[in-house]
Amino acid sequence: MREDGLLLAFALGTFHAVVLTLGLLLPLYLTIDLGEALAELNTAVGLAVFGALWATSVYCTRRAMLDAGLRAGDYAPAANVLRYGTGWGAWNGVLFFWCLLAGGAVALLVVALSESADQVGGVIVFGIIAFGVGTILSSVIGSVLGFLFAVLDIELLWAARALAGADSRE
Amino acid sequence: MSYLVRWLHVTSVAFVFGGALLIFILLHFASGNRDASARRVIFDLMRAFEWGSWASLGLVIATGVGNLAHFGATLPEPRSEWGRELTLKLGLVLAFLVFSAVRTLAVATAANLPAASPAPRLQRRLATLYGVTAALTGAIVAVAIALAHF
Repeated sequence: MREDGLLLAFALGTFHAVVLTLGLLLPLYLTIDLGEALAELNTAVGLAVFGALWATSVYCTRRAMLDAGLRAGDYAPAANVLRYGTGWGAWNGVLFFWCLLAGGAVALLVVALSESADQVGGVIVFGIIAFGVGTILSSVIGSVLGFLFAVLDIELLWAARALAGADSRE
Repeated sequence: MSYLVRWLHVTSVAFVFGGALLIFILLHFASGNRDASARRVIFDLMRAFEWGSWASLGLVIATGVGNLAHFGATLPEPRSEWGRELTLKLGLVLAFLVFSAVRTLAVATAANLPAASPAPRLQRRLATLYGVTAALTGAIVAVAIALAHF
């Protein structure tokens, strides 16, 4: 059912984004002075960054589910979930990084233009280098996270099917 | 801005708690009902709740980080009593998120089962899932109240 496919993509995409955020926040709170680090973050910027992560996670989860043939109430082979989960995890990392880079580049350009037009060239060169290096790094990090979330999703799907009384693990 | 962030945080949690409790009560009283149209209405209600609850959970996490940021340098250390309670709250939220994912997937799976499936047994299981959702949310709210007032 298409409606439930969208619901599952929204639920799992949101699940990935919020677990990742909490999974980073909790160890940081236990190890560094999180209050001081968060105080540096503007509330609107923080909400926009989380919004970007949320949107890319839901989009990439939806695409991974479609490619893996995962629909509500259906069984999808674990190998498919792992393969497409890892691939779309890489895209999730890249898309999220591009969102951050676009936001950062606009902010830097505004500052450069307001201070000195000579700085614009430097900002563009920095942006091109950051784009190349960051895209590679974010795809690697995204694929690792995508694989881990795919493993978790397989277990969650198995538990849900058992609870709903559908057939057991194939 | 901080007032709006806190308002969104509390309203989102209220939706999850109230919605889960309402569906638990509905499923509990409808456990013997084999009427297909009643079953469809309850599944539609559960679907609407699942959409709303995940939107709320996204907002809860986003605004929760905002609430922590509001403390700034005065955020208590993790070794303090407040810090231990915050760690407990964040741990409970993580467990709640995993449980919620299983519940949503179970609802979507159940909604796509043939109508001839054993509805009363399934409804009892779903009622338990929503009851546990409400209970877990209540436990997290209790810790949150302790964090806010003590």
